[in-house]
Amino acid sequence: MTLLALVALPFVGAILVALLGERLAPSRFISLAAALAEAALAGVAIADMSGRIVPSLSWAPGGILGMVPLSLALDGLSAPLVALTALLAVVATLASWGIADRPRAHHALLLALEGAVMCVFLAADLVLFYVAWEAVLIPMYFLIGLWGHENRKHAATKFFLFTFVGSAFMLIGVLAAISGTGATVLSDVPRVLTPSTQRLVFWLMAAGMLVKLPAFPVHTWLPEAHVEAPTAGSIMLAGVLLKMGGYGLMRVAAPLCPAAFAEAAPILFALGAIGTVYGALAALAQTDLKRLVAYSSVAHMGFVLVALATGTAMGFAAAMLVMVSHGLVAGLAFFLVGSLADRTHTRHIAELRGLGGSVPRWSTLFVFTSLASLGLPALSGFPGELMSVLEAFKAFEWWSVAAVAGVLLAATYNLRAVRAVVYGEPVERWASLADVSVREMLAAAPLVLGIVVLGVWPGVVTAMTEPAVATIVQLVQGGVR
Amino acid sequence: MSVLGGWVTDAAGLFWLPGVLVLSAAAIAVLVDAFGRTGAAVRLVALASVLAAGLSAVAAWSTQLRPAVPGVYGGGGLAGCAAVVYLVAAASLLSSLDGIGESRRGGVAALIGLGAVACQVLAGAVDLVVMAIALETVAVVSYGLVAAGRGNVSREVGMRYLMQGSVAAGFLVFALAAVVGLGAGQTGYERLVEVVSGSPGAAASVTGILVLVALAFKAGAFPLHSWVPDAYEVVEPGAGVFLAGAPKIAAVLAVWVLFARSVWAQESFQNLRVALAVMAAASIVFGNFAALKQRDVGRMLGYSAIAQVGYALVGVVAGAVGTPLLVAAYAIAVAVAFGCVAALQAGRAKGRSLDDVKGIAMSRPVLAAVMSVAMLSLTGIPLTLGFLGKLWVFYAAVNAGWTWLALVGAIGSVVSFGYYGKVIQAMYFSEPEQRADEVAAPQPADEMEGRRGRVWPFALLAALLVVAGTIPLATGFEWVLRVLSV
Repeated sequence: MTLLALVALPFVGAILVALLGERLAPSRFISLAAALAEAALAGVAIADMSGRIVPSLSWAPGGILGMVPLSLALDGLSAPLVALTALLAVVATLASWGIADRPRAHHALLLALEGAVMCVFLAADLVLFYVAWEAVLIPMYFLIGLWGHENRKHAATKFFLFTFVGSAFMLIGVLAAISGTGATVLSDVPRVLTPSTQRLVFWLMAAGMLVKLPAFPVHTWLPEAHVEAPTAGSIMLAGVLLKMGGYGLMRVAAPLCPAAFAEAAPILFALGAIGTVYGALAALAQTDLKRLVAYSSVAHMGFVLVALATGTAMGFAAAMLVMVSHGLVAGLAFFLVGSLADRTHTRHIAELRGLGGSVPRWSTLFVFTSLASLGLPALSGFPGELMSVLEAFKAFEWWSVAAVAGVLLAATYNLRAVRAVVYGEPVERWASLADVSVREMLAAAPLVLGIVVLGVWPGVVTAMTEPAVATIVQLVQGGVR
Repeated sequence: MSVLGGWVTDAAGLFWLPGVLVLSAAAIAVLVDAFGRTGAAVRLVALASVLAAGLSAVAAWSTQLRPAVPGVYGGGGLAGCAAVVYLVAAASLLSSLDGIGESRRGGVAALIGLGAVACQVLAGAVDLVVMAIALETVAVVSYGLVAAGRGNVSREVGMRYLMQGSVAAGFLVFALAAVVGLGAGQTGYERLVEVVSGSPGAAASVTGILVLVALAFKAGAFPLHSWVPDAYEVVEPGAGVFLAGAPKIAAVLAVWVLFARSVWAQESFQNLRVALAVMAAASIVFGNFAALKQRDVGRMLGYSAIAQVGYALVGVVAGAVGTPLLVAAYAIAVAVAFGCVAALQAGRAKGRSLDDVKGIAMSRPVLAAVMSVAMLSLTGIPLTLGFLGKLWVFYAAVNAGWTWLALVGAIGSVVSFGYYGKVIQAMYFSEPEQRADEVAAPQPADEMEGRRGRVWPFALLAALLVVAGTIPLATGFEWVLRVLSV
């Protein structure tokens, strides 16, 4: 019941905003109230889950097409991402406080987006999973297309088509899996898929998930969508939507096709390793601050893929850590860049110089974010990336040097951005720039707190995911169901 | 209340009643129209269609398939499809048919009524002669509706459509001759099943191909599609509401009954199934890519219709129970699309190219939202009925081993967003085109109001698309399939 409310509440909030939010103030406050209530509800649901013993991988019992798809479950794999979604939705609402152009529609779409993403992470049925996965596209498409920057039309269409191509493959994969197992659920599947079907299903599903992640050759929609999206859209896109890819691989593709997943591991590793290096190099070459953050997402999600490819319990835990950490860090980074661009009306790194003196609070936060992004120990980026590199070394030996190079390059592009934007010659133009406001500090605070907590005590996530991860790893390593 | 409910249920059991209602209304409409009461004539047929849709819906819920009149089945899923046919007919009549000249409007209303009944008969036919007569009636109504538009272009296109259609009719005559020869005069499907399995394989297959050609022409599948874009482009959008969807339901259901359920559904006709699969794939690929280039919304819908028939044929190949659901969802969505075009065009001389819909989200938010729902449903995005149709058809295809066909269909759906999405993009993301005349002379508000076409019938249909696409996620798919499975 709590879970149903968790999915329904954002949609109810969206409808309320659409009906009552004629003027600016009510639309803001209703949506903030809905986001906060959702966050509280997510807290209750997760506390409730940790208080009980839940099945390691909980999916609804039995059911072929023809049964009710609306079945929800919360377990160790979904809990961290549900919490992340709820948190970032609050931040995104605060980040779009200044939206004056059709605020009602903006806030309603943002809440609908939150609801759809929640449904992805809570779905216990393959059909519902797919429906929610696709439903995420619609609000995001309108958010980018209506409130984005100069090139928004192109970016919105590219985002939609790329992810839609991926999900079309995924749909056939989902249908083949249902047809092969005779069920729309995961646990207690009546029949295990044959190896050849597993291969087909895995790659069809992976096509959709790798686009979403995004993995190296199919990442090209990401920089454009991130750069053109409004700040709230970028926060949700980077913070939450990319996680759907990793979550899908872990939760749906690997358990359904364990043999095919194990077989595909080297390819996944290669894609991930290329992603870490390529994303970092591309970030290094950017002149647009928002684009730099966007490419850093490609690099970070590469680590997720590297960690997943190891197929070990540590690796899966590392992937989850990297995902949660990246959600917090990228959310904060896009929030900061967005709030800066609102004031300066430029995102050009060459023009943004020497901000340390004029906007000290913003600069402090930006330095903090960059340090978290490059994986400074005691901040959230560190444990996940360390674990994934270590696990990758066990599984793929010297090939994992590529991932290490990714870590080093991450330090380079982050520090370069900090040096250029925060330090350097102060410019007359930015001398009287307004610093981060109290509202923005409040929005950033939970993210900062989360980054520190996760850095110091990664066990808060790994303990939650442990039982689910153990089950999947057993499957992937050839154990019986 | 229960007395009334009993009456409705009893009436819904009379499967001939909706057709007779609408036919009589159409006949009276012609008379009323002759006395110059055009508005009353249109309203009368619309009212009869709404009643017929209601009765059919109740029949779909509460009855099973059984003979309605000799040679025609009714009830169950067929009644569900008939309800959709009458619904789009009513919507078409309620769209005010502004674009059609006053003198012709009553006749067009009668034609739509007649066409709706013919569609119901074609969908439920279980006798080849009945099927042929219904098919030709639908065709004649279609020629008339296409030609009823303004200007010479519509007459020319109507003429061309008639000429091509007569070739297809020729194939049908050959098929009838062959069937009569094979079956010694028997034309009922039940009897034909035995006849076909008893006769030489080649003869039976060739006969099947002849029937398929005639039906595929009416449905507008590749390579018999060339009339579709022209007809969709010139037809008055108000009439297009009916013409685009309803005959499609009927023709696809006729194919479905013949090739997936009865005469040619046996295992031994694998060759026909391969031919259908190739036709389906070619329709999907051609329709989607040709639609990508179009700037005219009507013409774009025409090319996309070819692709939509392709998806339906995938369902026929795989024997998917969701095939009627898929075409019904298509008919409703395309009716909404044409209805929005009609509402947009009302009061303006032109207005169906992509440039004309630019920025209308600001000036007419309801219309833009309704149109977006139609476009998303046609693409097959979840939470709409269009998705459920595709889900069931592709699932059956994968299940029956036609995975490649399902992949072609899924990729085709992605391509289709390239043009359906363009409409949404133009409505929401573009600035309106400033027309010199509009800037010069802004219309007084009330006059603008009077000239706006009706949107509410289509808003209701769009709501139906969303509700029927969402509720089954919580209740299970059983009831949706039951009311629309044949």
